[in-house]
Amino acid sequence: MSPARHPLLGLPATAAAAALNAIDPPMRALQRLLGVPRIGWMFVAPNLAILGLFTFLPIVVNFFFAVSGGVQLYPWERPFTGAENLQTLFDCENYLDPMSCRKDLFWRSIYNTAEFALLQVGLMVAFALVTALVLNRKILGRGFFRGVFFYPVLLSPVVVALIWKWVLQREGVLNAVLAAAGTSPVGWLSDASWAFFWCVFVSIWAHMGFYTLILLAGLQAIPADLYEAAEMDGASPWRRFSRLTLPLLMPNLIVVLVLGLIRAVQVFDEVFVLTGGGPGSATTFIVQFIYQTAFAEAIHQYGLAAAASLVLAVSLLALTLVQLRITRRNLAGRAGRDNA
Amino acid sequence: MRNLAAMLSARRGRGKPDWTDWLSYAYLLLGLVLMFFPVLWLVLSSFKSAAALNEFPPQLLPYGQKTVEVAGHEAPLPLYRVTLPDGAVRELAEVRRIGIQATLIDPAAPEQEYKVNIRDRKPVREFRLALGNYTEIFNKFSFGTFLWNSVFITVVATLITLLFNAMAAFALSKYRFAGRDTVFLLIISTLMIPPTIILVPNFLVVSQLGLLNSLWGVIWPAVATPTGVFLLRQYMLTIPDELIEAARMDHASEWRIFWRIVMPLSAPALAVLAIFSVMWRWNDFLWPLIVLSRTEKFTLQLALNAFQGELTTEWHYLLAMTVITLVPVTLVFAFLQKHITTGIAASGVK
Amino acid sequence: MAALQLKRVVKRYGETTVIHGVDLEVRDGEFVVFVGPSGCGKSTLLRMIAGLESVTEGDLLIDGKRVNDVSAAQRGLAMVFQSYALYPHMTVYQNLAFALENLGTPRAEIDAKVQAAAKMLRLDALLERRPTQLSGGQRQRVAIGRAIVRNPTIFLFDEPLSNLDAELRVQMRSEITALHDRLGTTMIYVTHDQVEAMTMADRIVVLRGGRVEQIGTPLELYNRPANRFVAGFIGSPQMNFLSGAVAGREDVLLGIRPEHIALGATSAPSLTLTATIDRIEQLGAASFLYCALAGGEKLTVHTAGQVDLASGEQVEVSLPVGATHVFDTSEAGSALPRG
Repeated sequence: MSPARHPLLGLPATAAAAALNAIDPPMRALQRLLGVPRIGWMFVAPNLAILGLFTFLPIVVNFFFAVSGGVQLYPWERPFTGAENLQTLFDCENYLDPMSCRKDLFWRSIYNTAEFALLQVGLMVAFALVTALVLNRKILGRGFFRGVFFYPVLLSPVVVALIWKWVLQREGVLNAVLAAAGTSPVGWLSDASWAFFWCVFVSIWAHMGFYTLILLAGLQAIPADLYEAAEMDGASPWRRFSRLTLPLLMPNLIVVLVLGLIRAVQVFDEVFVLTGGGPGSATTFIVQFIYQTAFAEAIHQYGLAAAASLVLAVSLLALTLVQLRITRRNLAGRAGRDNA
Repeated sequence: MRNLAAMLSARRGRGKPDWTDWLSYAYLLLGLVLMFFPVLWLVLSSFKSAAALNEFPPQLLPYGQKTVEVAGHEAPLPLYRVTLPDGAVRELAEVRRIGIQATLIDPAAPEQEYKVNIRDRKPVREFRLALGNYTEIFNKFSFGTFLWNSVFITVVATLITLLFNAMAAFALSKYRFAGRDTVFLLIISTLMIPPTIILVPNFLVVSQLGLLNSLWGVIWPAVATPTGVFLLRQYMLTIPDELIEAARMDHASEWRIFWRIVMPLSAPALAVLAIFSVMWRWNDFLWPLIVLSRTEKFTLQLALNAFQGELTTEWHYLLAMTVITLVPVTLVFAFLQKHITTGIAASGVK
Repeated sequence: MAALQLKRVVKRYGETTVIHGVDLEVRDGEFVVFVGPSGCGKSTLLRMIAGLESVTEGDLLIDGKRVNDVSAAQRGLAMVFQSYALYPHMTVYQNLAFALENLGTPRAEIDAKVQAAAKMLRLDALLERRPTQLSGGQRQRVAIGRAIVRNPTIFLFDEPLSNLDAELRVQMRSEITALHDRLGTTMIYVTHDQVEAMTMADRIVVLRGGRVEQIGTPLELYNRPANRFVAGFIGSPQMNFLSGAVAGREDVLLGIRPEHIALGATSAPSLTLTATIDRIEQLGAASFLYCALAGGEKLTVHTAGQVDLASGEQVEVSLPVGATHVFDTSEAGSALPRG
C-alpha cells in the first residue's frame, strides 16, 4: 500500500508529498545554477549552518568571554580584561589546598572531579570487564542478561537520580533492609563521604552496560581456537586470561577507559539531581561549577565560567588526542592482522 | 526438561557445570536484581498513597485500608482489626476517633458500639493501587504541559535531525565537490568538543535569536548531530551509485533523487538514528535547564528536577511523574533491545 | 611416544549421537590417519583424544592409562589446528616458548628447545616476527614447531593442510612425513583428502557418520575394501560400480577401478563390454575416458599414455575378473568374497 493510502500515514504522507512537490521547482533552479557536483553544498548546508551557528561560532565567542569581564551577557558590553579571569581562577597560595585559593569552589570542584573520574572509571571498567567475561560464556539467556545490564544506560540521568534518591531516603528501602538486618539507618545523602560514594555508584550503575557491550564485542572477536591451543599448551585458566585475553583485549580496554574518563570528567546531570552538589560542596564537580558561576548565582560571571570551561576543554582535548592516537595505532595493528 | 538439563550441562562441551558456572549465574542474578530492583521499587512506590509512603519500614506492595459500607452511615467506614478488652479479636469499622479513644461498630450489628484505645487496633489492609497519583498530577501540576513540551521537542527535533543529517550524509557520500573531505572532518571533529565550552556563548546566540524560553531554543542547537551524519553516511555509501545515475538519466532532479530514492533505501539507518535521537532529546537536561526558565515551558526532566527540590514531601506525585517519564524509553528497550545492543557491539565504539 | 586405545567410545550432544561406539588402537610410533567425508566425526574424535571434548561413554587410554577425566593441559599431547591458532600478539619465538613457560621451564632450557625446533623447521630467521607477517606455509611450520617444542607423547593434526594451495600442500605433506621419520613420535592426522591419507599413513581409519568403516594400511584399503563406501572413497577417480549378477546371487554390485580396466581384449579372464565414449580427458601421461554402457550405466576408464579416440566412438573394454570387487546391494554394501 503506498504511504498516501495508508490509514494512519495517509495525511502526513500526503503532506510530505505536497512539500516535496513544492520544494522541487526551486531546487531544480538551484541545480541548474550550481551544476550537479556543487549541489552537494546545498545538501550539506543546513547541517553546516546549525553547526556553524551553535558550535563553531560559540567556540570563538567563548574565547572572548574568557578574556572579558563584567556581568553583561552581550560581548560588546563587556570590557576586555585579558588574562584576568584565568588569573582569578589560578590565584592560590597552595594549589593543593582549595581553601587557600581565591576561587576555592573552582579548585574544590577540580579535585572532586579528578577523584570522581578516577574512582568511577576504574571501578566501572573493572565491573564491565568482569560482566563481559561472564557474558562471554555459554550462558542460558545471554541476550536477556546483556539487555539487563544495558537498560539503565537508556534511562535519563534525572530519572536515574530520582530512582536512587528514593532508595536512599532516610525512610527508604535501603535503610529498611538495614534496619531489618539490625543496623541503624544512615542519612546517605547528608553525609559528605557517603554522598560522594553514591555519586560514584549511581554513575557506574547508569553507564556500565554500554562499556560492557564494547568489551564483550572485543572478547567475542578473539577466536575460540586460540583458547584451545592455549589449553593444549598447558596454560592454566589464569594464564589463559593474563597471557591471552588481557593482551588481546587491551585495545578495547584502553578505548573504554579513555571514553569513560572523558564522560566522567563532564559528569553533571545525575549528580546535580541526586545531591545538588552537596552536602556543602562535597559533590560539586567542574561542570556544575561552570553552570553555577554563569547561570545559577545572583551575579552571572560569564567570563569566569568561560575561562573555567577553557581549562576543562584543554584537559579533555588531551584525553581525546590520546584516544585518537591509540585508535589509529590499534586500527593499523588490526589491519595487519586482517591482512593475514 | 531433559533437554534443558542437557543444555545446561553442555558447558563448553566438557561435562558437568563446574563452580565457575555457578558463580557466573550467581553474578548474573545479582546483576539482574541490582539493575531492575530499584526501577521496580520506583514503580511499586508510585502506586502507593502518600500515607503508605510515609511508613517505615515500607511495605513491598501498595496497600490501602479496607473500608466497609455500613447501614446508617453515608460514607464507607475504615475497617480495623481490634483487640477487645475481653481478649477477643474482631474486625470492626471505625465511626469516630477522639484523641486516643476510637469508637468502632460491628458492621453486622451496627447498634453496638465499642470504645477502644487506638493502640489496640490495627488497620485491615488490602492491595490497592493509588491511581490518584497519576491522575491528579495532570490537574494539580499541569503535568500535561510538561509531557507535551517533551513530546514536542523530541518529535520535532528528531524529524529535523533525520532530514538535516540525511541531507548532509547524502552530500558527503554521493557527491564529489571541492572541500568535501574538509567538511566531513569538520563535522566529525565536533564530536570532540565538550558541550561545556559552548554553554555560555550558546546562551548568548539563542538569546539573540529570541529563542530563550522557547522550545525551539532547545530544538535548533541539537539537530546537527555528528554521530547521525556519520551513521547515515556509512550506510549511504553502500547504496550503489548506479541507482542514482539511472535516476539522473530519467531526468530526476537531485532533490527528487534524494527524497524518492536515497531516503527510502536508507530506512534501516534512519530508524536507528531516530531511536538515538528520541533517546537523546527525551533525556536532555543541562541545555534545556539553561534555556527554559519559565515553568510552563519545562520539559519532563526539568519538571522532575524542579519538583524534587520543592515537593520533598509529595513523593507520591513525584514518583508517578518519574514513572511516566521513563515509560517511552522502557518501551523502546523492550521491543528493540536486541537491535540496539547488537548495533553498538558491532560498531565497536561510536 | 605412546600408544593410544579407544574402547567403545561414544559421543553424544544432548539427544544426538555423533560418535557411535568406536574401537581402535594406535601403536606406539605409528602415523595413523583418520579420513572421511565432512561430518563423519573425525575431528570430534581427534578433539576427544586431545581432551577438548568430553567422552560420553567408553574409555580412552594412553599407554594403558584411562585419561577420560584428565584435562587437556595434563595429557601431554600436542595439537596442530586447522587454522594454526597462533597467538597474534606474540612473536614466533614467544609462540613457541609459551607452552614451556606454562610448565615453568627455566629460561635457558626454553631457549635451547625453541632454537632446536626453529632450526628443524627452518624458522630460525623468523623468530622475531609476528604471525601476521608470515606466509601461510611459514605459519603452518610455526604451528608444528609449537607442538614439537613440547616433546609430546602424541602429535595430533587437525586438517592442517586444507588452508594451503596445492603446491604448498604437496611440499608440506612430505615435510610432515619426514618429521615423523625423524622424531618417531606417534602421530594422528585428520583429513578429508584421501590422497593425503594414502601417501602419509602407516594405517588409515575410514570413518563415516560417526562409525569406523575400515581400519588398515593404505594398500589393504585399496586392494581389499571392506564395503562399498571404502571402495568408493579410496582411489581417484572413484571406483566404477555396476549392477550385475554372479553365480549364486542375482543382485550384486560389481566394483572395478578405472585403472584396472583395459582397452580392447586382454589375456587374463575378464568380462568384456562395449562402451560409448561420452568424454575424453587427456593429460599426456594418462587418459581418462568417461563412457556409458549399453544399459546406461556410467564407466570411467583410466589408461596410461595417450589415446587416438574421440567422443561418440565405441570401444571394447575388458574388466579383469581378478580385479573385480563384489558388494551386496544392501545399505552396508559389504564386500562379498570373490569366488
